[in-house]
Amino acid sequence: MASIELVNVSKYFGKFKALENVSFRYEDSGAIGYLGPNGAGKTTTLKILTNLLRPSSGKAMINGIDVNRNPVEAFKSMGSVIESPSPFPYFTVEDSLMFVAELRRMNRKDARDKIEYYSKALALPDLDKRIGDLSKGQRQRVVIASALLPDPQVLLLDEPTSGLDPFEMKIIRDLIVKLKEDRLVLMSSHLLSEVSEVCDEVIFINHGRILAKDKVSNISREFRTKAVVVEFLDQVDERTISAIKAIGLDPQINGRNSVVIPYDGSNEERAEILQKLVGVGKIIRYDSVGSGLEEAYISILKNGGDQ
Amino acid sequence: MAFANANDLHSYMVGTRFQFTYYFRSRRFVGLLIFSVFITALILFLDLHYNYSFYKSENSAAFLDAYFSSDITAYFAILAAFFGGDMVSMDLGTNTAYYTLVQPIRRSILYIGRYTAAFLSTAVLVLIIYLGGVAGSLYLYGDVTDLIVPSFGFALLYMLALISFATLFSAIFKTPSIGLVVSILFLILVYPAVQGIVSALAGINPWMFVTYAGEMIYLVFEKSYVVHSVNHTHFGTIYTFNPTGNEAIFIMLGYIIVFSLISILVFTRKEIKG
Repeated sequence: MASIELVNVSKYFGKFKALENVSFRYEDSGAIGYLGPNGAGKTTTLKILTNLLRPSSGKAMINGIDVNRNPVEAFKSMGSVIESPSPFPYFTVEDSLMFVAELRRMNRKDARDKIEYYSKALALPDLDKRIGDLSKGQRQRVVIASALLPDPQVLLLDEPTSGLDPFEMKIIRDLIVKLKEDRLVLMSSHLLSEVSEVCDEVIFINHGRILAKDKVSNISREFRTKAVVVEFLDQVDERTISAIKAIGLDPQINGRNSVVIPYDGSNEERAEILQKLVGVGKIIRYDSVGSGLEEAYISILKNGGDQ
Repeated sequence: MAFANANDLHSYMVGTRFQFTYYFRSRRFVGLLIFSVFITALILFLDLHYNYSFYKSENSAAFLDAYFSSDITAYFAILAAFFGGDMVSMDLGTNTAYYTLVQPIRRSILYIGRYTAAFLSTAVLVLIIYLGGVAGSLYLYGDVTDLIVPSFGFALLYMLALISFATLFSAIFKTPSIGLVVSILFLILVYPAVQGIVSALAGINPWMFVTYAGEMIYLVFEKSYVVHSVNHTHFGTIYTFNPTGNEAIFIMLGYIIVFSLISILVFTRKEIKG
């Protein structure tokens, strides 16, 4: 069974403490978002999990294998995209993928089939194009394809959509959603929308310490925003405000056409408010303010680690 | 250390093949290939045009002794620096590490594969220079001395030693171009100069310099030569040292083993801090 585990991992760079007693364990399948601001320790954690850095203390394990003691064995069932990897510039796209396929002893036919599959799935550039001639986004997609080629049980992705255009971001996110069905994906990011869209679990890290970890749904529920934003077709004036107050709500003007209305946070009351507002005016947008994950991110970082 | 199992051997073969392909397509290889052909043609032209009658009265061994005792051995050092000077830093100093070092291949095997590919690439270029020598000898005498074989053997061993030495700089300096430039400076300026002072003036056998061992490439063509001599001149005493075949082999092997071990150690232990 696929697993990613860190046991009391600390990492020092001289006197600087990059990670402090970080522990977590995930297994089976699913996507875990690793959230934190720049310099929080996300990439350091992923580098330790890929043996690019060694922990000052503690243990990092992939599928039960100590990555820093036996990296070759651990890497066999793992694919990773850390920072912005760059295959050799004189390699073609095909060389870059075949290098990985051959090192991992993939059957030549399987490798060709997989390359063809990912060429389409990730909209890769022509296979005979040189890496040195590719854009950053194209190169990133080639590297992601090389990580996926051997069908790894565990995938480590460090801000996989960083530097990509919206089209490329969507391709990668859709792929991760598909991959997490039968693989374990640990993905660092500082894009909350991305984590909330793709991940099942989330870990918050700052200043090298884990501040919170839970299911995305639990975190979102706990930190659910207790206000809705309502946008009307027409301008919000005194008459509109009075009408909203008359139905027992407490609106605050939020721009020319919209108001913000606090509520208890439950879906039932949210539905009720909408029902009541239909008689007030023509509504063109009705949504909660921000997202639960965004609230959680700000609140956890503020209270727990942003000292 | 290396090749603990069949998987390592497979990884070595794959690593070497892909690295050789990479070198073979690189601008540096194509540039050096063109330059090697050019420099070979130029030396042959100068030798045959200006010293034709002198060489015509000699034999194949004498011609090849003169051909290789020119600055061609310094050119070998440049070739080695171009392929060894960034062998370690091409990963550690660039984002390539995030692609290569996360694959299931031991770093020591990756290093040995890359070393082999660098050696094969330089061997192709060295072969061009030897083919030039063979062509010159055939043109002048209609034959080539058998001594070309041990000379070529020494040249290949010399390339292995030089690449090994150059990789040390690629392990020390993070920026690939710095390792390359420093190794060129060391091998064609610092080493010959210090070797000259140590041997000629101080009278110490310069066995610690790989460039000294490299002299064997052309000394093999000499029927006999003085290994050590002392000349008293108006300016002082001048000492001369020439390596024996065994001495040259030991020095080159020493360089291959010592500097490769240091580079492998650095390569396997180095962390990618970014």
